[in-house]
Amino acid sequence: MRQVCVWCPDWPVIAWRATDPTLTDAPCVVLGRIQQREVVLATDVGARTAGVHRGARRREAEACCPGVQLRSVDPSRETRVFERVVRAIETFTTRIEVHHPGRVVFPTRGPSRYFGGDTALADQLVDAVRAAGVSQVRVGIADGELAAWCAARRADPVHVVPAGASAGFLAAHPIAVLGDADFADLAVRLGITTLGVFVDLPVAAVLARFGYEGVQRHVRARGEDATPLQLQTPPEELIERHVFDPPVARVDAAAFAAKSLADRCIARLERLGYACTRVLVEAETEQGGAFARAWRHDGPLDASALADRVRWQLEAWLQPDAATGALAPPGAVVDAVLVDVDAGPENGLVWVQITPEEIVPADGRQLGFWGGDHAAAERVGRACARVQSLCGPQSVARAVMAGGRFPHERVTWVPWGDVAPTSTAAPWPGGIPGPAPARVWDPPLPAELLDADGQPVQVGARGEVRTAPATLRCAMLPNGGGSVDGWAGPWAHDVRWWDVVQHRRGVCWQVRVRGVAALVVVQRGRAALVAVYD
Amino acid sequence: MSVVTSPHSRAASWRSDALAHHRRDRAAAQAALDDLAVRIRPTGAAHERSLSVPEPFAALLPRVQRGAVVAIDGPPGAGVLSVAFGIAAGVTQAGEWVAAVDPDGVFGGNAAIECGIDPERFVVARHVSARQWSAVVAAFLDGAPCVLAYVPARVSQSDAQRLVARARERASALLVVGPWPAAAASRIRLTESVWSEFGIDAPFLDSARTFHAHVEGRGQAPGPRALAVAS
Repeated sequence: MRQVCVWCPDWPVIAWRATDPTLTDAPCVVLGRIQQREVVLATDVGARTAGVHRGARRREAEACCPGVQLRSVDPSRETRVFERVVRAIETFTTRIEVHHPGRVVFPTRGPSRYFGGDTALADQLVDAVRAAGVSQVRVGIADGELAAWCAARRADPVHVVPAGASAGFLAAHPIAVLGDADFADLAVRLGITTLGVFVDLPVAAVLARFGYEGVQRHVRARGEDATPLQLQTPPEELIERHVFDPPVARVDAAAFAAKSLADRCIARLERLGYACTRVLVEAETEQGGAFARAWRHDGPLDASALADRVRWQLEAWLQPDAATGALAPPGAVVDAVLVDVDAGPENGLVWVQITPEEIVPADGRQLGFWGGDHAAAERVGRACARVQSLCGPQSVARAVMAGGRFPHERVTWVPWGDVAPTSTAAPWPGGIPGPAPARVWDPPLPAELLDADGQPVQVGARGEVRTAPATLRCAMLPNGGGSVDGWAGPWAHDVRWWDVVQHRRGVCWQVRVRGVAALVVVQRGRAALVAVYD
Repeated sequence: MSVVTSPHSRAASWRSDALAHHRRDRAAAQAALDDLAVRIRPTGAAHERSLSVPEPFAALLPRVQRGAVVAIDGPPGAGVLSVAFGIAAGVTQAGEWVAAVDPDGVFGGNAAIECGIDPERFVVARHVSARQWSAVVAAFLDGAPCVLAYVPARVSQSDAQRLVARARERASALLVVGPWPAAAASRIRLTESVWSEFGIDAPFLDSARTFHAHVEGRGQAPGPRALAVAS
């Protein structure tokens, strides 16, 4: 099937530039995590000419291009800004698929005839996207989604591969354009460096060596579509809908609904033995505005990937950026005609619906051999979701070891369901020695640490003891504290001296008061109880 | 002058190398087997009626029964949280999950990990208001095999009794820290904990300490216990 691919290169950087006024004209790169390593995911032209490439480490980027501005990847922002491009394209056709922010694919058959041929359609697409305020756009038209994507990468700004010539066009491309790094690595080591060599292999041999997935890649490499067009409407019972009562306009509430909706949808598909590769997200506002958007994924969507896409889309609808106007319904998608309406609390979402549009048989997922009791983890997950619905998404957390001198810095509480940063259990120089206190206050409680004369204890500029602690008073301690049995320290600290806001300078004492061991910090002459060794 | 090695000594050195290599391999294989044994242990313990408590806290409470309530109480600084973390550590080491309720957000996560809790199987509901406390504990009892709950200042007797019934029904162990106004299978009342003295040899707090507790409960002789924990 003939497809057109509209691609906005460097979209993560462009989305940041469109929304972050603190970014200057200096080169900018967007960083993200791939397998626990922080690497460059997207660069702009300035950074690229300085030698920063995708996959480079953060340090390499800073070394190649001093003064480069670093931002972390933010898919919801990208989706929000991409909304204006999608709306511009929606004036051409209704059947568009967002692969990820920056890349849209749709079949050309109807629009191409209407707008006067492939080249004319591509030119008009470029004009429409540029009119929406995005100058960097490339359009490729070819047979099959992979050929269209390769054509868009080669386009300047338009590249049309004639009908029937896609297989020849693709033959010279490297095997890595299929998108799977592991497969590309293996294929190159087997001597299959280009798609042409891969296509020349007999299908039976590809099936024997690479299995069903390999055959699908073979089909795509030939310039055909791996998933044939499905024209039947999806069965009613697969559609999942969430009705909001009262309507919500807050993004976090919508995101929470997105999570449960995605879980339900995937669970139902799993029960039937299906997986979903293309999903339609629909929503309606109180004033009758209807929205719909299709998302496609390479390979089956799992619950968290689906929830992410639904959440990004709802965020894009609820918090459109200024250029698109607030909650302006895309006229081309549905017939509901509405003028711009104010995004306010009275204009929330009434319902959200997920329709799995393309389903494929689920051929199973290999769980880890030592994966543990999967059912138990799921039960706990449900209980956590219940508590999150009671007390808010931030309320349930997991402890992840982190770096820092103070007890409350040694552990980061990561909300349940969020991606946990890498745990760093390594020792931290300059930390307080001894066991970790079991009861930690953040922020610390006000206290009084006095010497024998009843004056606040004093420490010299280099952390030497001038007067020893004799009394500790704090409302939390039994009987309000009392005389000190023993003390250790002081440990002087001068942390983050380069940062005006977070700069902390002071000393820590370990103090025993009537058998209770406590950690006291004195900063700016003021004592505070940080922790009790409970 | 060049040193000539006789074929005999060369063979001997080769043999001793091979022997050392073989020993190293055996040691590595043994280590891998031990590792494997540790990793498959959870599936073994997952369906037992009670969960063992690791040393040294086994002296206070040898086993935690599923569905039972253990009440731990004492003044701040006497070691209530350390004892609670130590008992919960046995649960995570048996491959089960522990859900904690921390109304004030004061749990030291680092101390929990030092006490032996596996952070992979430990979730905490933090900053829970007193009004929602019992609902949160009940929700966790539905899903987690062990719930560690810090009791806020006022929890009504009827709420507490309902939670006891819930724990029994769901066969989840409930460890409550603080004054508990309802029935409990075991009660551990910590009176004080004694730390070693500071001095020239001990320039900072040593983790060695002695807990003093009064224990009563099913299958245990009631009375005071002193529990020394080495550093």
